[in-house]
Amino acid sequence: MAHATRNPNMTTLGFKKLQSFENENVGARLGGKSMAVQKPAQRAALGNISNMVRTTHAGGKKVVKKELRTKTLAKSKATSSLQSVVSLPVDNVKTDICRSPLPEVVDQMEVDPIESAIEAFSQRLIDLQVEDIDKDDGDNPQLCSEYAKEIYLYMRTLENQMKVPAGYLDREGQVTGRMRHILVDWLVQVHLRFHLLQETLFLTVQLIDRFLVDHAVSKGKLQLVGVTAMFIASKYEEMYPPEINDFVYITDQAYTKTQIRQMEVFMLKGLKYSLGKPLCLHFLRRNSKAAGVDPQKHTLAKYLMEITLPEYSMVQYDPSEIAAAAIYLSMALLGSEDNWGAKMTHYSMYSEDHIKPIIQKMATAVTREDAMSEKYHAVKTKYRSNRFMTISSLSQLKSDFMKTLVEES
Amino acid sequence: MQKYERLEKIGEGTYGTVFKAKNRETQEIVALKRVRLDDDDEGVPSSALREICLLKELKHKNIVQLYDVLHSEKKLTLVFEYCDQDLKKYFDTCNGEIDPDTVKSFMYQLLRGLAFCHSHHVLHRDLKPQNLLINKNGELKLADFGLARAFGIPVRCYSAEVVTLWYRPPDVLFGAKVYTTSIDMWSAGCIFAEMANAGRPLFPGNDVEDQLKRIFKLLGTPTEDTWPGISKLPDFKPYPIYPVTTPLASVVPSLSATGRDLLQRLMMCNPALRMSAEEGLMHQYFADLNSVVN
Repeated sequence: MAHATRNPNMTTLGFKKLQSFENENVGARLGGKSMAVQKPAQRAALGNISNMVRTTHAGGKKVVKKELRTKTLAKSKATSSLQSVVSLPVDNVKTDICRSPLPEVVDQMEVDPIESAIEAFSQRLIDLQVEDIDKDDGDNPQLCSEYAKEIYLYMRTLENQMKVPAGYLDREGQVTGRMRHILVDWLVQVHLRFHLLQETLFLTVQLIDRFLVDHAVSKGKLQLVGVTAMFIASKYEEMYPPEINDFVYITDQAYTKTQIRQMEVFMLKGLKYSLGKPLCLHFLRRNSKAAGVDPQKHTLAKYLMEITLPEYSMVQYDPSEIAAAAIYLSMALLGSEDNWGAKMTHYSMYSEDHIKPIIQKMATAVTREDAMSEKYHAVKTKYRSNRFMTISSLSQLKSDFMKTLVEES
Repeated sequence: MQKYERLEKIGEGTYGTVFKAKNRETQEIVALKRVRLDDDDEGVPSSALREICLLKELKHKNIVQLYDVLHSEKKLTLVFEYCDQDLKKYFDTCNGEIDPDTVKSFMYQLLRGLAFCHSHHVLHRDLKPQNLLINKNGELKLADFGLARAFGIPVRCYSAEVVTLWYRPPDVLFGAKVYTTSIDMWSAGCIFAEMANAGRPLFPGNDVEDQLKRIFKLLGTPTEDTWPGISKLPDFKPYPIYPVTTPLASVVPSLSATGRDLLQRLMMCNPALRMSAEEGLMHQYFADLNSVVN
């Protein structure tokens, strides 16, 4: 089924990006073979893509009036909620998760270090009189109400164990944040063409970062790391992962199957076979449930999370932080009735103060109009489609409120 | 493979062959699971990839421990703690009789291992006696996570081709693609009954239809009343309404009344009503659990 969608245009896709690498003189040796072959005929496909973008832009202008109205609305609403600082024991939550309060006599294997954290967590729920969002889910096994609290706390401990340091590429090596941006932008397109699950894309980028933190690779190997990460992520997440040949194909034969297989082993060893770091998608679902948002707000939050993927300046944020910032910004932009009260602080596990700098960077990523964003806008283009409720064309994303956020950052 | 001396073949897993082996340095006995990586294939099989990743996260006394992963050009070797036998082989040594305390102890350990998996967002999806290992101290360990996977909340669609037929729940038999921790609880119930009967499988069906018939004949055919949404399942088709004629007491005669109650709660056709592992551990049946189990 998925195979039918992998059409020959994918070669174009691979080729286009490899060209870009060369043109900008940032990734000169990415895939020698494709560099050598010039395929002017395929430029037409590139033209199509940019035409499409322009059309959507033009369409967007028709709603200017409406945009102005909502702009002011969104501004007043969101600004006020940003100002209302809530002081809640968020730090305590963190402390509980981090420490391991095990008396020496207790068998380590048996007692889960997060169990006491769960108790504390539930107690706080009672103390704060925060609504228990799982309490009515007992008869819907899909929501795992019984284990939900435990699982989310466990996810927090996992993400703490697998942090990505800020600016990790700056230290040494040939790969730069700019190259990472171009790579991720390309992978977003590959992911879309392969019709893969959202989880696969987020896991792919996560694996790339976690691997590159400890492994300096040459410019020429960066794309190999990228496709191999997606190859691994697909096997982990997908019911029917693409075949290795599809990944060779998408790079326009820049790498052989053997190279991908060798890189797979190298990366898995480098990652110590840990692919279980949670994704911001997992936390977003929790946040959306707690906030009771409609599909539009949820989709906007997904877009806001995805737009951070290529952003090198945001690699250091934990998935739960990105998810909290995304739902916050989405609710603020779409004029949600709820503000970031005790409930959202509790379920997202972050205060407004904590996520504010992340929201500002997120806003910057959405609104940036520099040379990079001119060329690499795969996420924006993707979310302009009907399938994603044309969410990236929302007028609110150009509102004064957004501008204020960018200026503040 | 210099570090380990291969002793004998133990069996075949979901993927790859399993050997008993000895660590040349420490003399420790281990189990090696070997996966061939051919030149022309897809690299590391996804089942091996998931098993390694999930077992790395699941450190618990009732879950088989993965010590190490050895990667070479042509093969991948998983080094596991060694257990003397699996539950199926254990049944063979019982000669049709099993001590009720042993059943209780094994069931408790099975539920404890499962509760740990589920609270760490992992579904096993292939529980059966062959995949439960027993060591010489009477400890039971969940093994073979080749079909296991991590789940998010809400749980999204997964493959319906999971769990060996005899241990597959009715919802999955009807083609349900959305399932959750309840999938493992049905299997646990089947295994519980099989243990109580010293190795006689509860529902040894020949195919999906026969399997469902056997289940409904014992438990009664579910309807929209007892299981709302059943007729919407992808492969649903109506079955004769079997009256419940056989009391559980005659199906598992060696099981105490509280044991039968636990079994009944696990063998709920409607997955929403099936008891969870965590609840199971608190069940009255375990109130007098032998303190040896720890």
